[in-house]
Amino acid sequence: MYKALDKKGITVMRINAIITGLITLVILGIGIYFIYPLLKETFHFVIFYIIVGIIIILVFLDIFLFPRLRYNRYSYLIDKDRIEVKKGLFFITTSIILIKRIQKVELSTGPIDRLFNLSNVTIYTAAGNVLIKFLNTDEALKTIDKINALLKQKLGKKKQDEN
Amino acid sequence: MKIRLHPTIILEKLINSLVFILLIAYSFTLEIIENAEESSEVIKSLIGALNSNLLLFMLLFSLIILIIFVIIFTISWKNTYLYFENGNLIIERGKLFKKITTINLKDIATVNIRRNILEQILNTANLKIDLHTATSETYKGKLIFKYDKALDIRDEILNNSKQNKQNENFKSDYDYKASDVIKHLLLSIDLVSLVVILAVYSVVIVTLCFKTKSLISLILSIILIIVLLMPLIWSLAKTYLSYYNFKCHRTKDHIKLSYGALTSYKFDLPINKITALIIHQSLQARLFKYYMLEVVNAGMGGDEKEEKTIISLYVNEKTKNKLLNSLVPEYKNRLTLKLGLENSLKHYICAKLFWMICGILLSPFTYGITLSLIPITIVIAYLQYKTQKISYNKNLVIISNGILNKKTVLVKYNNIELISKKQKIFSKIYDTYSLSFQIVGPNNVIFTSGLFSQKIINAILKQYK
Repeated sequence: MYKALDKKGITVMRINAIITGLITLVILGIGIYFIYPLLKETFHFVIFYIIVGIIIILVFLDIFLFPRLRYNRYSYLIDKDRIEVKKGLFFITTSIILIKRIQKVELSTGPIDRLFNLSNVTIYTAAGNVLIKFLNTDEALKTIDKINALLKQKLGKKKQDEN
Repeated sequence: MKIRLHPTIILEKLINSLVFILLIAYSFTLEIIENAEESSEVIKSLIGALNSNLLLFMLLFSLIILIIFVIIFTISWKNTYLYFENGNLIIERGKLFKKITTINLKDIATVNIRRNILEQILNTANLKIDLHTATSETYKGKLIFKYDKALDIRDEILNNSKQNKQNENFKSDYDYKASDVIKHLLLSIDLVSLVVILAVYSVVIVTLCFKTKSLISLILSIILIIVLLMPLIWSLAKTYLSYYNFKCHRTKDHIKLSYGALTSYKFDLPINKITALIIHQSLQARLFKYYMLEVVNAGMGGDEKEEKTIISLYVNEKTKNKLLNSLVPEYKNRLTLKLGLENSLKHYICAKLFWMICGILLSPFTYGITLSLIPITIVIAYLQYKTQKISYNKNLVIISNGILNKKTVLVKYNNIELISKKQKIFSKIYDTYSLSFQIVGPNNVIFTSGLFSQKIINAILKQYK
């Protein structure tokens, strides 16, 4: 069964979107301040308005709508021989890693994540990695233990087969 | 036993640093002459003695710097050793800043031999050690040895002892003649880029011919045209020389590869390190039914793009099948590739039109240009749809895609590290999804398929276990 992420993930995504949005709006403001007098009274002025409008709409959507959509689409599954992670917004990707292919599992947490007791788990193979974001730290530690146990089981079985 | 590098490494390093030495000498000389009045009496007298001859002064400085470099390189050479100890290859470098690199022999994927012109004249070779790690690293330092010694070390590392050395001058599985290399050259040319370059040159030539009235300016124009064409000619000549004397042979568990005139490459690819087989076809190759084979090797470092592991130049279909049988029978494709579904054509067209409409909305004044691009977009979508194919069985997955050029990739499931199903904006409407997989190779390779029904994609994902 696919598992959903911690609901606090939506809040963290929103906070991240607010920070990114504010930086974008500041840069946009500086841009407007310099470009506005140059484009005034030219036909490019309409394009300028459209671009500014789209950026502002995207910033608002990124704060209010996209985190909920991302949360609904983000899910993961840890089976006895594979891990599946489904994520995305408009382009949804389902990534599959076989347990026997795992080389390293990493737990990471940022300052905002720490405020909400959330952590991220990255699963590495020899050629790529998959990230499971916004897990409750206890859940993340349990997930790592589970992956390690499955990996040990797989390696043990492989050794037995080799013998 | 400690093995020291061949002393010609000093010469090679000096040649490599020559431009740098001359630059230092030139800037140093200029500075001294500019500040001659403030200089010490010794330098003043030296400048006087040389009668302010800039060239002589520069040569003198170059010589001094050259001697310093010779001393540094000689000390470095005297303190560089390679030896084997407890299953490890140990490379010691430097005296003051000592650096010891220990490489476990098990971690070495391949050891290849590379020889440039100088090394061919001096009968030496450069050993290139590729490591089998997640990032497919390559040992960065230069390891120059006498050619025979280099072969011995390679054999010792690969634990192949004398067998490799005896087969060093191996017979190729297919005899590539000079005409085959020229054919390969012509079939490898990117026609679209060529058309663009020729169009630009034509404009330049026509403009010059109309504007030129005197004979001298006409000659100058012709020289300019030749200068403009030089990079194109050089690129063709370089490709010809790099694949000159192309040889490829399969032994029990290795593929031996050797090619190149100016710089010769010798590869020994272990079969168990091959993670994918790629069949390339340029536009002209597709028209004449010619194919080029390349393998992705897990141990090859991705730092040198020229060192492609092409195992066959462009050959016709019959020879391609013969070579697939002899070189990589593990990948012999007995599957029929299925054509992309009808719906994927609609998906391609809709997706491209969607982005065009976004472009028009964003920039309404360019709608004329954007609209005129619609027929081209539809043609591109159709070509993309016609090229995309997929096929699979319980061991292997095959995908092919491209627009004008075609690339067919054959990967075994046990070489796939990470597999992903991708859903795009129109995926739900047309039931078209794509598949991407990552394998170990130079800089880790990602292959993405075209658009296929969820049923096909899920069936492939089910086989991945």
